[in-house]
Amino acid sequence: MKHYLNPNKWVDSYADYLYRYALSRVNSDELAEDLVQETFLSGIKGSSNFQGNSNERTWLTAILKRKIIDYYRKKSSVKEFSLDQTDERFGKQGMMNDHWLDNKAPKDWQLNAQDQIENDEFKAILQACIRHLPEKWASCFILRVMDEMKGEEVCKELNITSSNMWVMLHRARLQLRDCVEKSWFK
Amino acid sequence: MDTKGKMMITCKEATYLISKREQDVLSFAERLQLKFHLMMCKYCRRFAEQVHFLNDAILKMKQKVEDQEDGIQLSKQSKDLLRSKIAEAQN
Repeated sequence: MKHYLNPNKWVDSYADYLYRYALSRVNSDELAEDLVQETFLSGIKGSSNFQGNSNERTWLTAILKRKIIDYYRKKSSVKEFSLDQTDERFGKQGMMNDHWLDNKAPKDWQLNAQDQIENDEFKAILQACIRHLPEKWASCFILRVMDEMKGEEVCKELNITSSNMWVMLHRARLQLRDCVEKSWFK
Repeated sequence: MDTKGKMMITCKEATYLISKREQDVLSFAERLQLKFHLMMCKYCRRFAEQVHFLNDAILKMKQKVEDQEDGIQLSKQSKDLLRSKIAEAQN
């Protein structure tokens, strides 16, 4: 089937979807709105590139995705992160050096995984925790985990080394886990 | 991080490998180091289980959030603004 673009219907058909897509990947409502607007405007400008092979929504989502990558790329004044940096979660000396401190270590969540994943309140907390990741680690996490981009692509887009990417992803995970534990598994 | 040649790794190193394992294949040596560490470390076992659970939850949630018809919506005001911008851009 050949698809056609009809910009006059975009707002009614796709604005909410694109807004939610953006909102789950950036940490401000305003920015998400701006990204949706830019997506529509780029869509109109680039409408001659539309081949009609994919549907409008897929095409617009691809544009938005690109905008989000660009946003993070501009943002990332990347420093080199290393695992050697001190981390308050782990001990600093003697036998306990670099091992979990009892009061910072993962608590028992008594996971009943399926139940929790389906729980709306849990989902809201998880989303909030993702949105509140510090931006310096969020870029990597969003592109790699949320957008399922390949490692090499993420490194290329953000201009970072792969070991730096792994450390950033790891920092994001530590942070995310702490946040979910504090907010949900009290 | 370089854990080459070490039999015993720290929790800091183990958690890093656990994170990495979610998205990449560990080397044979790394797998052994991690396995050995997890046998002895309750906290890292929890960490591994939880990180995996969160990843799973994120993937499932992602799809749902976007497709949710009754989910978050743009305000009417914002939509009107978008409409006028689109109209303007087409002229």
